[in-house]
Amino acid sequence: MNREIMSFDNVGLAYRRSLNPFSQKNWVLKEINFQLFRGEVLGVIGHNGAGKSTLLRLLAGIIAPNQGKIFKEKGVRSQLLTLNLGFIHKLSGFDNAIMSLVTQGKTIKEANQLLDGVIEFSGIGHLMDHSVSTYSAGERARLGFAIAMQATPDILLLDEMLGVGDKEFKRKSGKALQERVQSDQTAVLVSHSAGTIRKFCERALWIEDGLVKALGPTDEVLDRYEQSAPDRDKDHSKKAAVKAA
Amino acid sequence: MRKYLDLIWLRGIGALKADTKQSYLGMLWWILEPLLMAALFYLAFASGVRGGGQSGSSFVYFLLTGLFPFKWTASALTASSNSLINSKGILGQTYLPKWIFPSVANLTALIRFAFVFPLMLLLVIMGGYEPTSDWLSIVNVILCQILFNLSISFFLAATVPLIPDLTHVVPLIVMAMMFTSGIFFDISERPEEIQAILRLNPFVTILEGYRDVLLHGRTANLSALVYPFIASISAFAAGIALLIRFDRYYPRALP
Repeated sequence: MNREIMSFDNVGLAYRRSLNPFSQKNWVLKEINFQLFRGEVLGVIGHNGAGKSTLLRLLAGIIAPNQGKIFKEKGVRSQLLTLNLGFIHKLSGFDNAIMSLVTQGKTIKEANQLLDGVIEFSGIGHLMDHSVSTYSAGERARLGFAIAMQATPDILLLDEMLGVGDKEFKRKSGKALQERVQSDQTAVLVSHSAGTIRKFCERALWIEDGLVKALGPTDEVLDRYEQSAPDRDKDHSKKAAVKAA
Repeated sequence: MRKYLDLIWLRGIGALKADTKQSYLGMLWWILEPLLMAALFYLAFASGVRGGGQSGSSFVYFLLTGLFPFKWTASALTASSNSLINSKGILGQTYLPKWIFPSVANLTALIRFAFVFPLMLLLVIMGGYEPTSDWLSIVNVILCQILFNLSISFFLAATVPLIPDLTHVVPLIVMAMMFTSGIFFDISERPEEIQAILRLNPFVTILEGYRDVLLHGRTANLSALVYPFIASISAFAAGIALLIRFDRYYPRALP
């Protein structure tokens, strides 16, 4: 196995239920332990509200945990793949592309050099002078995706593996993302879909109710996950039936 | 560090660009708004407060040299106090040091003042005040005000997201500054004990700096600027300490 690039040691994260400092804490994540190794793709699976998005925000360094420690190899940058990062809609595609690239950690000079790549990939070169507020949702997604793909973090964080835009661009963007993940890029992929995780990830982390339910080779973890899912659904429908009665 | 400064520059210029696209007159509003405001206050206060009207003509310049610098500070503070809250989209998606955001607000306010300041000088000169080499010392006053703006901005940007109630208080603080900083009246004409209280506000000294140089033909009194300087440095230290301490907490606290 490769070198460890990042690890979570007993990480917990809680929100207060209201502004009152004495109000009860809601523990979204309780005791999360796992390691991330260089070059691997780790899949994170779990039901709604299991704490997957919070986990991503911790991995991205956006927020800090209330308890436990997160170790990261020195100088390693982890970044969430996001569309339209910091866009100002009144400004042109050009201006927003430069601004967004700099927000992702480039200098202005580097951003200018990357611009051609962005325009080519997005396929909306003719619109770059126009203000982004005049773009259709699809055009905005094209620009956003083309910019996001220029980011070069050491750890790429993905919330669902999705292509964007119309049918043609969805295929193109989905393919680009796949190639990126299947290269030696270290990545963490959060998904509801067991199929997606099976396809891309060597290892999987299953979190439930803020705890690690299983961690290991994808197939092992997902088999257990899929077996549990029907139970859970049955449980829910039973409750719903009781309620309805 | 370099990329953060690049980002401040781009977002500052971007905000100004976007701002000019929001209206037909665009950039013209940068000078039109303070001019109209000055005209309004002149109509409201010139006869009433100064009385007699005999000093009415010099009152215009007294008002201009107070109101225009005040507008600069007011817009910097107002924008900064909301800067983290308004950037919650970005802050929820990527990590950025939080001092970037009040800095952007200060950059845009500074650039706008860079257009208003020559206008202010021009009006004062047209009013018959002779420019001398002493006027160069206005640079000290401006530098002191830049520091003052930035410091209070950092402090407000750091505290408002932690105590959201302050969003209601900040406009009141700005308004209180407007009425107590000697924009409409000369503080040195007030009774001693009132002066002592009003001068606790470091902004008073900054405004007096502008008038000393532009209206009274004196050089900016550096020893007088020590107080606003020290007050600013303290607010700056408190602000930056909070911004660093709660660096990774703000994205959770933002509404």
